[in-house]
Amino acid sequence: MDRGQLQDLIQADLDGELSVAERADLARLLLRDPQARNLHEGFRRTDQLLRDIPAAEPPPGLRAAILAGRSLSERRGDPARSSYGLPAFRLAAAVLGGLLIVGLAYVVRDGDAPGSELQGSLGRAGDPARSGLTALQDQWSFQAEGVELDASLRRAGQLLRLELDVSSAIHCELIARVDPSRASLVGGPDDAHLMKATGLVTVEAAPGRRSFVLEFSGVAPIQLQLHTGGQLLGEGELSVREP
Amino acid sequence: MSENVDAARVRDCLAGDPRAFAALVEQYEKPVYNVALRMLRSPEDARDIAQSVFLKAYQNLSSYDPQYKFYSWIYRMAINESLNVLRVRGRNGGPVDERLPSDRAGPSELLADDQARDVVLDAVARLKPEHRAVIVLRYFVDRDYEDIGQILDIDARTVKSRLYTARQLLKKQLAAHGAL
Repeated sequence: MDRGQLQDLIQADLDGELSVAERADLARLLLRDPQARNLHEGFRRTDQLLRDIPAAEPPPGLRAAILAGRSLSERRGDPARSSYGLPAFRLAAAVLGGLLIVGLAYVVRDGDAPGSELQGSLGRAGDPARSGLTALQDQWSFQAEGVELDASLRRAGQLLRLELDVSSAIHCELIARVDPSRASLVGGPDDAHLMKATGLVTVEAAPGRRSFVLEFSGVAPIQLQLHTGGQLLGEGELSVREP
Repeated sequence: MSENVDAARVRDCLAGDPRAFAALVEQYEKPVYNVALRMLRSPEDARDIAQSVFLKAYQNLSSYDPQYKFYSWIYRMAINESLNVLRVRGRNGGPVDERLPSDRAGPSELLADDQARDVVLDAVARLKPEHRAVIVLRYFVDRDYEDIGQILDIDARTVKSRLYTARQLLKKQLAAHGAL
């Protein structure tokens, strides 16, 4: 048996690909050839060391961030299926968009009026309330099944300060999203993680109360999502009036 | 079995069921993260890549060809994204440094388990990306020759050849570190 054949046999042995006859051939060879035995033993131990490495657990909040990225992508119009290819849909979308702009202008003009801050009351998981996407609002409150969130955004010089107060009976993930080309995270709690690919910042909120501040350079808006166990509870958007 | 379940989830997702995509994420979040982590040895980059892979998968779900396994499709994305990061990093892009780091020090005594694990992961990280990819797919997400070939778009013979070379390089490095 030449060296190439021996290598093939050893590799097939490591990968469980040997036939009974080949296994017997290899066993006989290893018995009579110490060099082959050493070679086989080195590969076998290397193989075992690789197999002994346990799979790493993904970081907490990753699934929520993935699903948040999906839902935000969906809102931007990148869903897996798109029904906007037809001219009639495009026209309808354009008309609806125009109406939305008129509505936005009206709401923005009255932005300082009492009651303009959204006091969201979220529905059950799986039926998330989606609100806060229609106006320049710098404060937002969520309430949903044992979870309360108060968020406020203000400009402090070059920084956008997003102040968050979460009170929850369950483990939640709070996800903030900025346009990565226009804003970036510059400060926050140690466990805040910015995902460069999508501009998402994820922060965990264990049961109890937690207050923290995320600081961004750049410009608003900042979209917020509250998740638990990978499931979206609610989402909204915060912005500030720029001078 | 899993392939049928995956195909059904993809169909449901395309039909507008958000739970179907969540189920795919739940199933493959961990292996995709592990592929990226073992390719790059950076939890931060692996996290970004896992997120990016699923986002791209979602955005391109309608182009997914169900004659291929769903996991092959997303593992390929994870490998390709990891290779892109390696290119951007500008390291490991050239020929692998096959010097044995402990040549100067000489082999040490057998290492403790956690040290051995670090030595193994360091050794994997020193492989050329093409060799690292076959090791990652073989050992960290348990793919066979056929799957690895499909994921990397190479034939089974090339898979075997790369796997043998990668194992040989790892064996040398591990022996030099006293891990064998």
